[in-house]
Amino acid sequence: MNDLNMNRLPVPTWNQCGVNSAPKAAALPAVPADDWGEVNLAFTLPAGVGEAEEDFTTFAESGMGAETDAFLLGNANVRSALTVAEGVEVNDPVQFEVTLDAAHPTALSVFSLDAKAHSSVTLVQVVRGDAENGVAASLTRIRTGEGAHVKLVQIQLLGSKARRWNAVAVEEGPGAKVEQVRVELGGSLSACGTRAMLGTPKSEYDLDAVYFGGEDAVLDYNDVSVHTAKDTLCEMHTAGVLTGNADKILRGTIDFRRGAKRGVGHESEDVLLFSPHARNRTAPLILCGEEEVEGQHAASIGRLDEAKLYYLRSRGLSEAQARRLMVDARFAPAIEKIPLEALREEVRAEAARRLDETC
Amino acid sequence: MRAFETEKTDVAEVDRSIYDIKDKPNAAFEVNSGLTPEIVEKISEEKNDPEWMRIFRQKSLRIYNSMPVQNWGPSIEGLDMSNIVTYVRPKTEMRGKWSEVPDDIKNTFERLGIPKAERASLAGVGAQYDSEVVYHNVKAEVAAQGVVYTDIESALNGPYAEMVRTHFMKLVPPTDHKFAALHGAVWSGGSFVYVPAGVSVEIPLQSYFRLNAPGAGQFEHTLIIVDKGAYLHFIEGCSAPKYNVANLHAGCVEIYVGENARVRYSTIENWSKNMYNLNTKRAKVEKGGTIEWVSGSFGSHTSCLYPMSILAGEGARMEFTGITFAGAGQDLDTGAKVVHAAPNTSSHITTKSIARDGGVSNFRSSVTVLPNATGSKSAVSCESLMLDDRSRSDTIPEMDIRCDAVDVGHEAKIGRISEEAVFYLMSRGLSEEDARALIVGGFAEPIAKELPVEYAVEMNNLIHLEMKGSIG
Amino acid sequence: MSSPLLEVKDLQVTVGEEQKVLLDGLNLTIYPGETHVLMGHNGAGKSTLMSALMGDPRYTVTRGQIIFKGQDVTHEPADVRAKLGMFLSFQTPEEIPGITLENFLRTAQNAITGKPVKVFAFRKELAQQMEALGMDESYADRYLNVGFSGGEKKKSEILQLLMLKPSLALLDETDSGLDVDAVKTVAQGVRAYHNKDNALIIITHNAKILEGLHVDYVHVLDDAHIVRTGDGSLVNEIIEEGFRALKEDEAK
Repeated sequence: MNDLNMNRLPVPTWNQCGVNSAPKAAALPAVPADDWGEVNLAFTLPAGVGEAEEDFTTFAESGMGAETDAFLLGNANVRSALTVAEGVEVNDPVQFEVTLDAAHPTALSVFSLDAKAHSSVTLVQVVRGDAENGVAASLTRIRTGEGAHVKLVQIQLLGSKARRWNAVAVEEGPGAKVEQVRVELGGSLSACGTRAMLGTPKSEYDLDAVYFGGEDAVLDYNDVSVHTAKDTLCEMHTAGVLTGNADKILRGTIDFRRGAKRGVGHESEDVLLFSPHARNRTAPLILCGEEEVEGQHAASIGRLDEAKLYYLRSRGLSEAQARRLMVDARFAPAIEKIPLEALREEVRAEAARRLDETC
Repeated sequence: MRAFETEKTDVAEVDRSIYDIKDKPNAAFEVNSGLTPEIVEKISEEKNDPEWMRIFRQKSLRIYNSMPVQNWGPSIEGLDMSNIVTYVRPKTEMRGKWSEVPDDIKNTFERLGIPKAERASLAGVGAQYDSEVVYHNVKAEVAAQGVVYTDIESALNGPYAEMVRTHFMKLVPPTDHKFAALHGAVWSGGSFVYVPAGVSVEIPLQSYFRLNAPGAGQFEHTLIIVDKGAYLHFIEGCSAPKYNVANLHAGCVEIYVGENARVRYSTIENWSKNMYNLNTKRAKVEKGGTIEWVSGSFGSHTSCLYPMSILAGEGARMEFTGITFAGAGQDLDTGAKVVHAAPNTSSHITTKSIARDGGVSNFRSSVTVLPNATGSKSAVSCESLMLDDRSRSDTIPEMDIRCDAVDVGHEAKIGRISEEAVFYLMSRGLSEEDARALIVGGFAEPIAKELPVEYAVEMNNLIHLEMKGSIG
Repeated sequence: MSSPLLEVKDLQVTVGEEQKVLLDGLNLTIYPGETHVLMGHNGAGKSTLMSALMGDPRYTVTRGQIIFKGQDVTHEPADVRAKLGMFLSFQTPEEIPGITLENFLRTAQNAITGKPVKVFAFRKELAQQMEALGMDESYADRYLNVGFSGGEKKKSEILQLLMLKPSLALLDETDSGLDVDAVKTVAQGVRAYHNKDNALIIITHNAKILEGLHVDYVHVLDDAHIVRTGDGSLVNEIIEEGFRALKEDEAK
């Protein structure tokens, strides 16, 4: 039995399924005696984005849970609290790029974004590099005012040695929209969890997530959309590829609380398995305490369709090309939302490279 | 503590008078409340257990006492085990003929339509009254085919004793969960069915369980062994009179489906609304065999019911069709589990959940595909209908896929009755209440059509009764 | 003359919380044996009128009265109106899974007549009517309108009309989206239904459904009102010249 207090399934099920919380392998790193060291960080702050005088004092917990949040808040060696003023539309993305290497193996970041009413902004977070015992962990907290629009784009391109934790918490104002794009391609551990609180009318949360798990990677996700107000909407869609001995758990929950009248939530996962040794666990929950809602989820797990593969090969594609094409098609909805052309191409190439290497 | 213990019969509730007739408790033997090795020993003595069963019960009791209560699912806080009288045996011996069954017991059965159902060509009735089988009859033609249908106590000491010993609680070991352990310690009554190879039992075998004594637990054990190429349809129906003390049902059903055999197991569960129904059902299916579960859950205060299928042989199949309807005060947590443990196995789970009047109707499932189960397929589809905003319906599926050559699909939907559809039906002259009942009946139809016709009719009546007074 | 079947007096109908007015000050009187045709632009209020007459809960009558067979039904639910003899053929009939067409018709007939349905007579009549409408008998066992094509749904509506025998039939674009043969069948069904004791209100854009029917009155709706009432000849006038000519007419 594991009792790690991280990525908890909002309503537990049979313990032997092992999905009620994150596995031991996802345990947070031990706090060093001295300090966490320096971080190799590059960033771009476009005009219109200001640094907040102080960080949020209270905030709803992330999908990974309060314990993980507290760890990051207490240990961060990178902190950034940003704000976008009312009505300001920021066209260029805010960019944070962390690179792990032997001299900078640890990055514990806390990002806060306070997007005031009717503002709009895109926040791009890239994590790359690799290091023995490397750690790239972050907590991102986003609060949106009325009618604000925030796009959070998270790209993780780590090597196979580093471990990754990615906690996101969202609180939305009326008519606001938060779109999250989460691409997780590497790491010996990829543990992520977003929790969106849709507590005001007409607020919306969208997630387009992509993961690639190879070798002995452990992937553990917990995404929750909590609907408490009228006319709230969520679209949570994930596509993934598992190869090698990868072991993945995806928990996706749409939680309609009483009062979430006319709430709508759609959730899906499409998993491609490329190895007989990979393990995929999926627990897509719909919790419902309100009559007037529409909730749906769908999951599809399996190999590439042989007939399709054959069709593509009959048109002259190699098996690897055909495979890439099919994976591309599944990853496209997320990748196309990446605002920077170069980054988009890099992600495509990186996904293809990892696929070719492991399959 | 839940409120049910003090709750009075709700006047708005279905007229259950036909189900709620109580005979005065008239038991020959009752154990003291609470569970000790001495009590379990007493059960063994009373039942004339063979030595291995005596040991098995004691072992199960130790497991029961050392195991924690589950930390997930519905609350069973309201269940006080020290309050449950585990063993109540009516003053009657086994009867072969209906005319010899004591009148008060007979009256209860007649109110439930048992003899009539039997006349309606049912193969045999092993109706359990309290904890002991009191009425048992296998039609000559079934017996002539070599089919054994008897109470399990007789089987334990009869010519099939060895078969019982090698199969009893092998699918559901006492270590499975706390209430399986309890069952192992205090089980009493139930059916044993053996269908020899190649025999197709054309008429369904039916057993009717009910509880009658205040605070009595029911721990019947059903053991079904269907040999190669044989076919059996077994029907289990439940009804119990209403008492205001928590009642517990922790029965156990074990089904062995031989190579290329097919078993259909149908249940309409309609326990009174103070019952804790913590039943465990499991089937193991050999090569080319099929298990079909049809399950309707309407009664009980709290239910945890997830029939499990182990697809152990190549090409084994399972189908689960279920409906759960929870009304006021009910917390029904139902679903199915399947383990694909051989190549080219398939599973198909289709369920419907309905919640109204503050009831909780949850769907829970687990699909596991083991590494050797290449070429397997699984499809899960669950749909929930919310009839008001005071009720709850959670969908909690889980899939564990450890093999790549598979095709696993899952879909779930939740919603409510379309107001447009209600208006359409009303424009054809139906009252709002009837229109809603008709739509809910239609929602349940895919399940109803899997049931034998008399059960489908009963289920439809139940839905209509449950829907009465749901407007305004 | 006999007493009117339907009287609509100064009807105002609104929709939604903001009480948007869809019909205003509408008057209409219909006697048994008559056929009325409603025409007008999309959005003129034709379908709203029919829905309001049938008691669709999405619409609110904020003023005026609907009197059917001498009884004020303005605020009665749809089933009460249906029992009194009103019938609406829906523009987009609902799909109801799990209930077969036959079962549904029997339930509805029983609800309307209040008497148990005689099974054999019912089956026989159903088979006859379905044959007349060119519906395969297997449709009786299919779930109500589920997976029916547009044409099949409209035939299912007319089948219900023929089986339930209301005294007032409201046909909301029952002929739209149908091929030539289907329109003929549907028109035939309407003719078979119509007699001196019942009345029809028909919304149509192309008049195909009117074939063989004597149209007594044509009402043109525009902007929440009836702007003009004429005899049957108005139908062709409008189809040929459109509503514009009509409006100009009115302006003169």
